[in-house]
Amino acid sequence: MEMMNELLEKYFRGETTLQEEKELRQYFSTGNVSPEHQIYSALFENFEQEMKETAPRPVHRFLPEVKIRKRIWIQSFAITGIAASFILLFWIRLPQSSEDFAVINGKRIDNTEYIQRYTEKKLIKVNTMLARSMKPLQSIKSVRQNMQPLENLSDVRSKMEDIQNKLQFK
Amino acid sequence: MTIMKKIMTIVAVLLMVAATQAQTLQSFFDKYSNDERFQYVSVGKGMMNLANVFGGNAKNNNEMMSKMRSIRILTLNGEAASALMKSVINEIDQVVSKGNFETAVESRDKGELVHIYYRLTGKDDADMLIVTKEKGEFSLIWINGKMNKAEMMHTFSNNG
Repeated sequence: MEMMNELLEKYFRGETTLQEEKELRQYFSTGNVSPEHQIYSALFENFEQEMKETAPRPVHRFLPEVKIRKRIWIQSFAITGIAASFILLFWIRLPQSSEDFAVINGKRIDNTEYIQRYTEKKLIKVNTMLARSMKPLQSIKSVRQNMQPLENLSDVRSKMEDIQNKLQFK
Repeated sequence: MTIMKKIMTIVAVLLMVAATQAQTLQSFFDKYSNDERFQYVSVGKGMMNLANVFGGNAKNNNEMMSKMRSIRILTLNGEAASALMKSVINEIDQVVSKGNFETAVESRDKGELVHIYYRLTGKDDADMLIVTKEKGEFSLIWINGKMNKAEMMHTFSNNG
């Protein structure tokens, strides 16, 4: 009896283990309950009864559909908002990437004159490198130009032959 | 809850796809532009006063400059055999091969190498990538503009 008293005290303090709670339920379900504990029997019998109850249908069917829809809308708005923020972030960042600046040894330089000179230097260098490697092509071009009088000479020769032929016919 | 799970799965898949996607020219420049070992210069449309740099007559060059949107230059100084140089060259080769670029000019002269690549990114929107390799220096010049192929190629066609 004393043990049951202790268990009940523990139970109401919320300190009982699952095993102890089972013992309490068993005690109240046997029907052999001491009169001083009778006041609690209704409580434990009710627990026992509720444990045996099963849901007739899946629980989610009882949830109001309106709330689920509302939650989906809120979630959709939140996701759309996050996506829009990302797009805005990229959009805002784009003009910054076309700014005029230089990064030399990890240091940002905004001196436009320096940037201009640096860019000029690099482009001239590419131009020079290309010009150097294209030199053979230019040589061919100049040889062709120098050969132009020879081409004219052949024209003169053919014309002279024409005249000669005409003279012979006469 | 199931919709939320689906959305999360789609987002995760998209992120994974983005992560595994091939490196683009933009991401390549972004990656190395703030690297201390590199020199990086970005010139926007507002500061384009480089017409005298290119060959040809002034009128044509000014017209050409007005069509250019940006010039970005990335330079790495170092030994050709260094691990960084090799990895950078390898990366840019992959960017070029996967970026629908076509080779416009390829020249090699006494250890100096110039490659000019070109690609259309939209209607009259083009990217020109100039890769130069010489002793101790590797440079990338990325020119973007509203130009067609002929106009873009005109930039360096009046040499000599």
